Amino acid sequence: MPCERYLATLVMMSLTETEEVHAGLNESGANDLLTAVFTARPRLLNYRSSPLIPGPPASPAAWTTMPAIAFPGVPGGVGWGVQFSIPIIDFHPDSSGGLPPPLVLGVGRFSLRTTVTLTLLCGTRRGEHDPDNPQAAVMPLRAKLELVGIGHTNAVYFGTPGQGEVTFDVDAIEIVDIKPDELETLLECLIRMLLDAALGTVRLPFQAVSAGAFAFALVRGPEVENDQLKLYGNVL
Amino acid sequence: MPDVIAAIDEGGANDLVQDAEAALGTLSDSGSGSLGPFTASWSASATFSGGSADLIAPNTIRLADVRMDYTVSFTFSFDLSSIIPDFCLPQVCVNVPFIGRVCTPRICIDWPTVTIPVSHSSFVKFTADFNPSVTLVGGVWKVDLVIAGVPSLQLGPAAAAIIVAIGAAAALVLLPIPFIGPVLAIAVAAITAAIGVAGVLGLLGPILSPFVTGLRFTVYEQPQVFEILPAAPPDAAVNVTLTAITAAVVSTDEDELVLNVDFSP
Repeated sequence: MPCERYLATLVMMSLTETEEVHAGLNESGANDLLTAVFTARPRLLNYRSSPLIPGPPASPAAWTTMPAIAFPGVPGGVGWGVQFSIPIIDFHPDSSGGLPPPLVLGVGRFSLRTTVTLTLLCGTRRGEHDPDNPQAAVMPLRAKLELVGIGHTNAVYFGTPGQGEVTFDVDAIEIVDIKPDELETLLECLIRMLLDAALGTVRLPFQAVSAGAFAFALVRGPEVENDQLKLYGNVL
Repeated sequence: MPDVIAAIDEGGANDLVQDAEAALGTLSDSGSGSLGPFTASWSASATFSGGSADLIAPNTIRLADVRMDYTVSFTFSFDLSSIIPDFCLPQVCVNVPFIGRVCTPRICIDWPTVTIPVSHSSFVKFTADFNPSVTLVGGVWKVDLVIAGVPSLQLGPAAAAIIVAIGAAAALVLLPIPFIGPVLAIAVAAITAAIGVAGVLGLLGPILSPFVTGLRFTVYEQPQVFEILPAAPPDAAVNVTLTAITAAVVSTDEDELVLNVDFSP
């Protein structure tokens, strides 16, 4: 929508309300920012225990390497990989076409859609019992799941009063069509923890939310409404 | 809907303008111009401060009582003979007994050309309308408040003060000149009368007006490649490209300066 028409359709309430400065980040802008962050820093979305977990991405720098899961009798532990696609955020109200039950996009919340690819290095211990194959064989097994989540935003302050960052917390996710329900619940909890941790690495400075306009100290927010993340403050 | 809507109300706009005035710093210029019948070379500097913002939809930011502090220094030269007639002391001869005729030499006074320096500092307040102007030049987005029209500067009191300053400066310069004593007051009066308030205004106006007519306060300045997050090894900096910016004054239950920003990752 052209700027003039958009401005003309604004309701009679001011943008700044009772504060001096307003910064509203539309969901398309938020997704552009997330895309920029995760494109520049892909290691925030790609985790693996070793280079035996194949890409893409091919570059080792695009991965965060962590220890394998130690387990008695498994030499070197269980190799694993977790990869998320860049999440797509939708600020309240819902404009994503609906959420799978039981998720409900409450006031002040956002929903997100992403995929998670789980990789397991599936191995055998046959090297111990098969002299003809002394090396333990491992094969990466992958499962890619689409998931939907809901979450909320926070403000984290540091330094000068009113200065800080906006963070995103994932409250719940839903993966459909996994049976039995207990497995679905288990996976959802595991993936929610991982996704929350991954998205938690994104910290958007207040000035990024305003595209650098009007240096301000945050007084109110972040608030999520009308498809925007809104910050309110006073001029520094 | 734009990616970012940033708005500031009139109270915030006041602070914004003060910051922009401070960021503008000291403007300076030099040149030469007419000072009454004389030609003066001048240098001038000006700073801006204060003023209260009134946001008027759709496109006006009225700044009332903006204060321009300025310093004007100028020098002008003139031939003193042009206002005080040259004169000669005639030869005087006397007959001295036993010596004969003795004569004094004829002495002519040719008044020199003098240079008078004057410096004056003061301030003037004005009210003017500004329009937001968005530019992308050299990879930098700017939103400037650009003055619309030429406000009237009330320079009369300053001109009167400068006339006094010219008289004082002229007296200092003329005092050491031989034989000037009896006509010093006449010379000073002649100089200030020749220039007059109109002459000072004729110089002062063209010096100070350009500072105001070209006035623009920058209220937004960001590189087109806008850094969201700085580099933090091993991670690179995160940037987005600011693709479009518009600015307007929007009136609802209060008046606000609104910037709309679009960007791409």
